[in-house]
Amino acid sequence: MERGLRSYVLRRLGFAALMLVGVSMILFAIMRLAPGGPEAVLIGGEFSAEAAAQIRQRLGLDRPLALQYVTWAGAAVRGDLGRSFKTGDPVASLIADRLGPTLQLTGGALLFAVVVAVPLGVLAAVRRGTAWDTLGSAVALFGVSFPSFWLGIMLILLFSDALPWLPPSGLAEYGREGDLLSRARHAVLPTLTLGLIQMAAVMRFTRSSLLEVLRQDYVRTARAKGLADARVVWRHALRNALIPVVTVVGLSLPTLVGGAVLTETVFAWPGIGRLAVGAVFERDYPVIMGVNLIVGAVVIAANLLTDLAYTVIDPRISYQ
Amino acid sequence: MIQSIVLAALVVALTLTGLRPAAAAGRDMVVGLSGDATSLNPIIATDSMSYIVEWPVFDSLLELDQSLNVKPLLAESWETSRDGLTYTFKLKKGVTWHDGKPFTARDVAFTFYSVLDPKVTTPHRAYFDALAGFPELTAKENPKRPEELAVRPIEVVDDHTVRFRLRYPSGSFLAVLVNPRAGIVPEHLLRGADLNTAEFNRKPVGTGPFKFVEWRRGERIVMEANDKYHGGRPALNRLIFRIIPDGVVLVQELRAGGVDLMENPPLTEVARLKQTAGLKVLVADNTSYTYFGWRQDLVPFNDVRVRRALNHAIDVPSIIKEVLQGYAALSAGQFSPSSWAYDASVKPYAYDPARAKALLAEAGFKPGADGVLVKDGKPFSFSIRHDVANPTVKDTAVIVQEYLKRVGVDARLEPLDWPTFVKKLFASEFEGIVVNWTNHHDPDPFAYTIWHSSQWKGRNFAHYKNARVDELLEQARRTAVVAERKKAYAEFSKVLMEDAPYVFLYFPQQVYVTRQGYEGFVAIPTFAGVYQSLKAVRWTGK
Amino acid sequence: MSDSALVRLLAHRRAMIGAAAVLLMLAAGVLAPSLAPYSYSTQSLTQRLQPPGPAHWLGTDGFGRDVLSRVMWGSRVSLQIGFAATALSLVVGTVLGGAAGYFGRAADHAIMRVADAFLSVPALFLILVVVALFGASLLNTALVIALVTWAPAARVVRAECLALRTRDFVHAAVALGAGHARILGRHLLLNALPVIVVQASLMLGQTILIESGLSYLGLGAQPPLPSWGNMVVEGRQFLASAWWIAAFPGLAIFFTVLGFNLFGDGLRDAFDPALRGAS
Repeated sequence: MERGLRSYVLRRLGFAALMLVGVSMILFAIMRLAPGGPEAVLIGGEFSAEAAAQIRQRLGLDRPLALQYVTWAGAAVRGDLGRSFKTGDPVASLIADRLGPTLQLTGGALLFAVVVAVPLGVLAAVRRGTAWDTLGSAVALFGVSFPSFWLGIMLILLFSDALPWLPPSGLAEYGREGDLLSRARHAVLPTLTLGLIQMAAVMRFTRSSLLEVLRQDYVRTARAKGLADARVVWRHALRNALIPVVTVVGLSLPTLVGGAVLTETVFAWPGIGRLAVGAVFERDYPVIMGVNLIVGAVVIAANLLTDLAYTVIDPRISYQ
Repeated sequence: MIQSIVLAALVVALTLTGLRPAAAAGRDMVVGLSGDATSLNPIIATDSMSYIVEWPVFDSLLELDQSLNVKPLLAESWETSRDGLTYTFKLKKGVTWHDGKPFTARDVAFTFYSVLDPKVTTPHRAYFDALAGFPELTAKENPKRPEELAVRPIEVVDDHTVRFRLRYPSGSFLAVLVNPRAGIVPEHLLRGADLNTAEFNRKPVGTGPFKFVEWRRGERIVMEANDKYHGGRPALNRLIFRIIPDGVVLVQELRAGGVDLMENPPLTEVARLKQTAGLKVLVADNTSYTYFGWRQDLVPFNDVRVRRALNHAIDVPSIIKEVLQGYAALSAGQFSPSSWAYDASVKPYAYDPARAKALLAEAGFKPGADGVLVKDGKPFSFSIRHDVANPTVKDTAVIVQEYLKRVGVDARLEPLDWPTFVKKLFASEFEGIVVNWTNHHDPDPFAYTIWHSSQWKGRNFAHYKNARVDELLEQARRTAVVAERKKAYAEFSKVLMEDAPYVFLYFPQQVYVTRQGYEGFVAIPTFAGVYQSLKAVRWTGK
Repeated sequence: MSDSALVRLLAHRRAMIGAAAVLLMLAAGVLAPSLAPYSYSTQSLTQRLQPPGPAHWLGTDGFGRDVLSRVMWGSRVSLQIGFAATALSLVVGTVLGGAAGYFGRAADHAIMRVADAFLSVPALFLILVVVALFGASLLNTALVIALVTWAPAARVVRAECLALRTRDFVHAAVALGAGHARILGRHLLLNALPVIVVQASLMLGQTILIESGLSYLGLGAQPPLPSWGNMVVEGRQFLASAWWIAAFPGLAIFFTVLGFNLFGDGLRDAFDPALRGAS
C-alpha cells in the first residue's frame, strides 16, 4: 500500500465520477425518449389532455431537456435527489426506507450462499470423485438450472399453501415490524429462494476453481516438498481459488444493492428492486435516476474493492 | 456433536414455523389491493385504487343504494326548484371532521369551487358541466372567480344549508354528488393551499366512518374507526389496506390469513374458493364494460358492413361462459343491464361466422393466398393495442384475435405498458384496441364524452360521429325528467348498435372473496360498490 | 477442438446426457412447424384446461390450446433468443475482456470502466428502459439480454487473460517477436477458449433463465407467441387446478438449462483431462 496503489485508487474514483455522470445522462435521455410519461399514471383512467398538460407543466417536463438534466444533476450533487413524481416523497427517503429490507434479503441470501457453498465446494474438490462430490455437484447443478421466480413459487406452494407453515409474502405482519420472530418467519422463503440459487453457483465456482488450482505446478511442488496436505490446500491453493469466487461475489453486488427484482415481486418484498421496476413502468424519472445513481455508486465502489482484493489474493496481479 | 446440531436445528425450525399468527380478523379487516393509491384527496385523485381508499375516509352529500338511486348521507334532505335549475340541500347537524372541527356548508362550497378551479388538476371537473357559470369559471384564459359572477353556482345559505344553481336542467346532477368523485374536504385545512401538492393529500382528514392513520408507500394504508361518526361508529376497528400486486400471491395471502378481503381473484379459482371452509364469495354487477374497438375513420372500419361482420365473428356468450366462468353480462351497448337507461330490446349481434364472411365478401374482400382477406391489394390486417397489465383484457385480446383469424382477418396483438397505451389512446394513434371502461352509474357524462362528436380530443378517441346520436345525447343530458332521458337513451342505444362502432363484448361482474365471519356487505352494482358498505361490516366470529 | 478432446467429450457420460437433452429441445424447436400436432394459437374454448390425455398429450391451457405444441414452439422462441443473446454477448465480452486482460493499463481501465457502467445500472432496469423504448420483440429481447450479460462475461475473460498473460508461453511468444494481435488471438484467446466455450454453454442456460424472468414481468415474447417463460407465467394462476400448464414448460426450462450446464461441464473436462471429474 503505497503511492502506486493510492494513485490507482484515486484514478479509479475519478473515472467513477465520470462514469456516473455519463450513465446518468444517457439514462436521462433514454427515459425521455420512451413514449408516455408520469401523467398517465397520476391521472389513471380519467385521462384528459388538459390535465396531462397541467401535470407536465407542474413537474417541469415541458422545459428543455438539457435544462431538466442540469437542474437534476445540480441538486443531486448537493445530496437532493428530488421528489417522486408519483407520490411526492423525497427520493432519498424512498430509497433509504427500502435499503434495510433489500440488504436483509440480498445480504442474507449472499451470506447463506457463501457460508454454505464455499465449504461444500472445497469439500467436493478435495474429496473429488467420492459421494460427497457427486451429491454436492448434483445439487449445485440443479440449483443453477432453476428460474428463480419458479423456485419462489414452488416454495410458496409447498411451505405456505400445502403445508401452512410460513407466510407467503411481505416483510412482517402489520404492527409486528419490530417483532423479530415475525420478521424471521417472513424472511425464510425469500432468502432461501435467492440464496439457494446463489449457493449453487458459488459452489460450482469454488469447486472448479479449487480443482484448477490444486493441479497447478506450485501446488504440486509444495506437495512434493512434503508439506502436509491441509497446509497446501489452505495456504496456497485456496487463496488463488478464491479469485473467481471473489469475481462471482463481486458480480452479485449490483443485486445486493439494486435488489433482486424477481424474488421481491414474487414475495411482495418492499425492496429497491421493486421500487426501480415500478418507477420505470410509471415513468417516475426522479426515482429512476436516484436509484441508478445510488446503486451505480455502490457497485463502482464494490468493483474497486474486489479489484483491490485481487491484488491481495494473487500477488502476481498488480496494478502498477 | 452431530446430534446436538440436529437437535438445535429442529428447535429453530419448530420455533420458526410456530403457530399460525392470530388472524387480523376479529375486529380489524385487512383488505388486499393490487396497486397503490396515488393521492388521498378526492378532488385530485382519479385512479381506482385512490378511489377505493378514499371512500371510508370521506363522505359525500349523497350515497347510492342497491338500485343505484341516491339517498342522503351528509345531506339530510333536498329540494329541487320547478325549473330544475336550483337544488337546495339541508345538511346534517352535529357532523365533525376527524380533527374535531364542525362540518358546515362552507366546506361543501369550498370543495366544489376547488373542483371548478382551473388551477387544480382534476378531470372531475367535466362532471359539473351543468353548474351555472361553468364556462366562465373554468376558462383557460382569464377564468373568472366566483365572486365576479352574477349568478353564483354554489351558495352558502347558512351553516347547514347549501344551494346549487345550474345553467340547464340536468338529470345526472344528483348522481354526481356521490363518492368516490364528490367527497367533501375541509375548508379550514385547505383554504389557500395548493391542492395539487398539499401535504393533506398524503394525510387526509375527512368526515367519514374511518380516520386515516398511516400510509407506507407501496406497502399499506391504515385507518381506524371514527368514534364520532355521524352514522354511528363502524363495527370494525381498523381497516388495513395491504398492497400486493401479484394476483396469485393475493389469493395465497387470503388463504393463509394475511388478507381478509380481496377483489377479482383469478376466475378459475372462484369455484375452489367458494368451497373453501371459512371463505365466501360476493358477486355484484358492474357498470364498466370491456370492448374491442377501432378507429372509425380508418379504412376499412369506415364501412358499416365490415363493422357488423366483426361483431358477428366473435362468440361473446362462449367467452363469458368458458373464460369468465359466467361472471359477466353480455353487453349490448353503453349501459349495463342493471342501469335504468338499459333497453332490453336492443340486442347484440349473434355469433355467426358465416354471416361475417358474407358481409366481408359484400364489402369487397376476397380470401388471399394465406387465408387472410384482401381488398384492393391490401390485406385486412391491423394491430390491436391494449394494456399489458390487465390480465382479463389481455386474455380477451388473445381470444378476439383467434376469432378474427377464423374469418380471415389478421390482427396482431400489441400489448403496451400503461403510460404508452394511454398516450397513444388519447392521441388516437391506434387501429384496433381492447379496453375496459370504468363507467359511471349514471349514463351522463360518459355516454356524452365517449360518443359525442365534439369529444374527438377526449374520450371519443375512436372518432365516432353520428348526428342523430349527438342530438340524442344532448337531449338526454339537458333534462331532469327521467322518462325523457330514458327515451332518448333507448333510441341512442338502438342507433349505436346499428352503427356497430365497437364489438361491445361484456360487463364483467365484481367478484370479491372474504371470510365467512364478516357480515354486512352491500353489493352496490357500480365500480367498487362493496367498499361503500365497509362502515356497516361487522365480524360475527363464525 | 483437438481429436483427443473430442474423444474425451464423446466418452463423457454426463456431457452426452446433457447434449442429448439439448438436442431434443433443439429438434423440437426446429421441427415444431411440421411436427407439432396443433398450431400454437389454435384455441378451443370448450376444451380448456383439459388434463393430459389421448387428444392432447400434455393437456390444454386456459384458451384450449395444445400444451405440447406450445412447448415445442416455445422451444423455438426460447432457444432463438438464447442463442442470439449468447452469441452477441460472448463476442463482445470476449473481444473486450481479452483486450482488457492482455493490454492492461489504459485499455484495461477504459474497457473495465465501460463494463462497470453497464454493471452499475441494475440489469432489469436497463432491460425495462430499452423495452419501453423499442418494444418487446424477440430481437430486442435478445439484444437487451446481451447488453446485460456481456459485462460479466468480459470480466471473467479478463481475469483469465490476466492470469494467462504471465505464463511462460506468452513470454516466449513475446521473445520471439510476435505481435499483439497474434499473441492475443493465437495464444491467449486460444488458451482461454476452453473457458470461453464453457462460458458459452453455461450462458445459454442463463439467458433462457433470464428470458423466463422477463416474461414474469410482462416483457419478453408476447402472446399468442409462446415462450417457455410466458407459458409458466400464464399457467401460474392454474397451479392448483391445472398444474400441467405451468409444469411442462417449467420442466422444459429446467431440463434444457441442466443440459447446457452438463454439456458445459463436460466440455471443460474434455479440454483439460487433468481436470477430469472437475465438473
